[in-house]
Amino acid sequence: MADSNMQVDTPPGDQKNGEIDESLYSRQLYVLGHEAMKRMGSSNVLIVGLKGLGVEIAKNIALAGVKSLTLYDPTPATIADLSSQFFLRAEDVGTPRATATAPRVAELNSYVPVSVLESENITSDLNQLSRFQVVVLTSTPLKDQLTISEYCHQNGIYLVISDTFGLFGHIFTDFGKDFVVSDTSGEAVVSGIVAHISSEGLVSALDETRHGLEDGDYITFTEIQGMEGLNNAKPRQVTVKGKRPYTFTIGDVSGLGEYKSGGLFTQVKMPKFISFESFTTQLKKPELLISDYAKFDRPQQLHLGFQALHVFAQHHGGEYPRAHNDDDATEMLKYAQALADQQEEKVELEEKIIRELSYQARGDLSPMAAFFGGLAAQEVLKSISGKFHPIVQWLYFDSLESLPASVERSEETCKPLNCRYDGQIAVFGREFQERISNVKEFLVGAGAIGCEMLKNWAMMGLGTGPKGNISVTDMDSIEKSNLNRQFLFRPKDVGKLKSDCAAEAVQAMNPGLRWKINSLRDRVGPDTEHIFHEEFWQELHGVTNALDNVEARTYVDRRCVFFRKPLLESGTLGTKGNTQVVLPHLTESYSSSQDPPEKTFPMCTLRSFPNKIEHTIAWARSLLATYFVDPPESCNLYLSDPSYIDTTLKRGGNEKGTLESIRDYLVTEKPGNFDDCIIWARHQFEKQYNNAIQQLLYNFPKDSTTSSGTPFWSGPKRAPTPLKFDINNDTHFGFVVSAANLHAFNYGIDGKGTLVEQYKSVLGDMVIPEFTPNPGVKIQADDNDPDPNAQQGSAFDDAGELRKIEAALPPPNSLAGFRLTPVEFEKDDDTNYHIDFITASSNLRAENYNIPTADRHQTKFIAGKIIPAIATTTALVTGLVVLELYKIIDGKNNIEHYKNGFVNLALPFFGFSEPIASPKGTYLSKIGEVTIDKLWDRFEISDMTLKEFLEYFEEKGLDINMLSSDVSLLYASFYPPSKLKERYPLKLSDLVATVSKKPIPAHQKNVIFEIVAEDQSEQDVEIPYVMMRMNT
Amino acid sequence: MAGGQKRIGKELAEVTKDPPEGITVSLVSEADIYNWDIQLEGPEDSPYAGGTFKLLLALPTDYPFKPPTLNFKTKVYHPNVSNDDKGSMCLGMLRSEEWKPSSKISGVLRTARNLLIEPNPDDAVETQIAEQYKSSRKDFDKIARDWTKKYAKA
Repeated sequence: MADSNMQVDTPPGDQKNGEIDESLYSRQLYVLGHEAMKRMGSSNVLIVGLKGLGVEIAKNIALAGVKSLTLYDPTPATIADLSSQFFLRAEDVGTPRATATAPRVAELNSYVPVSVLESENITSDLNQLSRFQVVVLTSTPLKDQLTISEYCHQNGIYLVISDTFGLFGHIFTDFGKDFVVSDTSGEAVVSGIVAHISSEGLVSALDETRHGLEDGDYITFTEIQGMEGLNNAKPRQVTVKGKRPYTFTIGDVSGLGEYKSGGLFTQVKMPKFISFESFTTQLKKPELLISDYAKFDRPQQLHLGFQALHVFAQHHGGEYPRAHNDDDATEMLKYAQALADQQEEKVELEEKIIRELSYQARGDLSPMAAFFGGLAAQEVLKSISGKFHPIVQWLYFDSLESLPASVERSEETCKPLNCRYDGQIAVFGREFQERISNVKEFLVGAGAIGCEMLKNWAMMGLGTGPKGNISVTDMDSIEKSNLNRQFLFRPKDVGKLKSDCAAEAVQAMNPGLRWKINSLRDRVGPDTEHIFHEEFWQELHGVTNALDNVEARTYVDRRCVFFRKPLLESGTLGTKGNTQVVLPHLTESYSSSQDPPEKTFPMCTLRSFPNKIEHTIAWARSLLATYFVDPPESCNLYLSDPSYIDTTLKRGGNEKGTLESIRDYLVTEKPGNFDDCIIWARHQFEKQYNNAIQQLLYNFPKDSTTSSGTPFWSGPKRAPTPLKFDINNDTHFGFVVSAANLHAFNYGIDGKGTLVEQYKSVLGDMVIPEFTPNPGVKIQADDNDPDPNAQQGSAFDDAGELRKIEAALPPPNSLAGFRLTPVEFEKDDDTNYHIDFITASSNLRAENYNIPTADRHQTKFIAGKIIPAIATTTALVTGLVVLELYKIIDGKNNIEHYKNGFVNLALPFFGFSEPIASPKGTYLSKIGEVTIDKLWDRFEISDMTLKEFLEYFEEKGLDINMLSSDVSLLYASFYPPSKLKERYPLKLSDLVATVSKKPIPAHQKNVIFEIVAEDQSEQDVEIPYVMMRMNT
Repeated sequence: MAGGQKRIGKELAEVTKDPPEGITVSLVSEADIYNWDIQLEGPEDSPYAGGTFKLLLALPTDYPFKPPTLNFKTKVYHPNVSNDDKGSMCLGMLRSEEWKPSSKISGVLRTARNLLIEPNPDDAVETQIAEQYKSSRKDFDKIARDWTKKYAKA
């Protein structure tokens, strides 16, 4: 604000050189942070090898944003490359891979220049690597890996090596001898309120609030009374004994005095130093990170197996063993055994594993490229940003469980057909390829996971066969912030429908999908069951979710259970991801487990006692509605609905508040021009941040005590201080600017372009009345709207008052055609003042309560409930889902062959577990115990009367206490006899229609009932639901 | 879906057959098992005595994993009930972080009624009412009684 002629509302969308485009990178910024992204913006990355894995890494790094990306691969493209290389097309065969790929990678992000490294041989002149900060090697012979890695290690260039062979893959990292990780987890900093610190250094967190710290974390203190020496001191390491959630110790506190009261603790992230060894050293003595604890002895074997593959290639002119060829496999085994014999520590080789590695060496699978491509790209980002803990130093992963058992694999069936699926045929054989092509799959969602999924499916040829097809639906249109990870979309696609655009993009990737994708624009839910009807579901082989909300996931899950279709479920949150397989009659379903509920704050805390920035942000978010949404809506209702006052008055509650706000917005505070809006905004500042606080302090002075004698303002209750408006304070001024503009927006007044000078002149002319707390005010209808006129010492007659306000309202017909425009909250529009208002409002309140403030970026994150996202996690998670899809297509019916996955690329952590079996139960029938699958079993009936229904179940030994359908309670044994008598003879279909007051829609073929029943042992038993077929 | 609805059904049966003292429960409509009408008789020895308060208990679709919400439909003068058109009751056990899926609706209703006997001014939503409750109990009782007479007697 140095230049007072500056326009206050310069569109923040304008990019200055070197600044981060927040509207593009928004969701990723919440994963990596500004600091890490700045470092990425100064790094040059080289990727060697542009087959499926190389292009996947290139794609993820281009999306993430680095200074430059260089590709190296002079090998001419072959048709088999198209098994996983999604940026190569049939017409590119013969063109050097890097040359054909570079322009398509360049389209992904206009901020990242992509070039091709022109060189015959990379090892002939290693100095050409010196301009890169990171080198990534894929599809590179071991001999070259050794040479390049040595150069990189000596010259401080970060190195990532990754390769996949069929269902096997690995990654290696070397970030140098002195690598510093600034943030090892990426988790938010933990903070909390201190209740007590003992003389032994035992800290107790406030009543029943978990401190959230882990053993070894570091913290600092502020605001402690007694033991003041702890405040702002050097970070102390905490010990958390036995995972105790409410206490921790901080070591020696002698000489610091005695703890009196108060205090906050805040976690401090300490840097971690890692010394990496060179590739040559690590090849001999590998440090292996386990990817799957069910296979803990496999990495050592694969480490030798992968080297044996290179030995084999050296003996065969660079060629890997032929697909499913036994001679080659035997030779491979020999090399592997020779390597094993040289090891210091004995490694037991499983012949089966090494043979499979040999069989699949020429295999090239899209999901494996997706898994390792996501992983490798994330490691590259870690190396240049210092954000998150790297892989140290090897990770091997395989998905041998994905091999089909229902088809025969042989050298004959796995041999190449000179087609784009050769990489997949090499692993699974021709017959399985045909199986894949004839699948009918439904993809729900075409966002981040949806785009990645379609890419994998296109590479696999899923649905391309005569009987196959893909249905995809998404109701959303493309937004700019999507382009950072939904890689099938380009800037020109913004505004287009996601499903259409994604379908078109993957049809271009694999023309075999032409006419094979049914792209829809409907949300899947109860209101679209006429579109996604019974025939639609019956046709499907399976369903894959690519959704971003629990409600839709739950709905699709329920439909899959009902139609007994396998469901693949997955999700990501920043660097975390999970996958789940739901299989009819085998596993539990998505809804069988519950996520912890979303954190909400008690209203009392928000209203008067905030102690965290989250509290003030939630308060500010509701203030946005209180000012700019609710009153304009009430006014519009008043103006358009003649019965509005009567209905509101009848409804009881806060009719006075509503009427007052209509009066204020239509009469007393109605602005005539933008200056009036500035004045209004300034008054709101006074009301919220000065007067309301003064009133609160009048009622609860700083030295007041509770009924038990302890200070009232202590623990979670922080004593507030009123603010004095300061025109030169950016936050104060920012509040007035955003509030004035939003108020103006309500009235269709244009305030944009108003100069700072004008604000200053209007504000300077204002006289703000001094506030004196009113001792008579015992009741305030609303904190936001104190009414100094109301004298309500005892029971008041407000009917008269109401009539008075009502009389002050202009008759609706006097304002014919006049309407206010309520604000519709939109977090991603940087010019609409919504986030600006919330940020200013929240920070001012935080100042009131002496809570550390949050910047606009952080406020937007919390207020907009933004889910952080990055392309790397999405790619990896999608790869894991597709590896499960192979198993479903194979028809595996042993639960042990499937895996649910949990990953966190930041730590990094990989966890796989067998899906949980569906819950089973029993009930005692008249002829003995009956076992039931509580999830997948059901009773199927046709329409009958309630009486017949009850008898039907009595026959089975089940005495029904309650019967419901949807949310209607149709029958309860405690209903009065007269009501029951009426209902017994009704057909169930009529009963549903009568009670729910809605006829059953014609397209609905069946009705679901839930029952509560007792069995022959007179115990409540959990029994499946009842499905009634409608007569058609 | 199924588990939650059955649980709600069972709890409804329980409080219908064996209601907590001073409380009557019914469905707002048989077409919606998630919304319950509660009639609460003002406890003796409280300024609410003689009044009948209507409350709405709304159960979330993922009950019992999320807590129900309880709102006074009858105006009531009480430090822990918001004096607006919502009548929200600030009840510790109904906060999402304190709610336990094993808690039951009958318990919620009992706690709500106890709060009429013994308000909790230290955890108030209406701080001014709370202040009055603490500093001039007589005035508080009088207004609470007046409101009961005015709003809670049909």
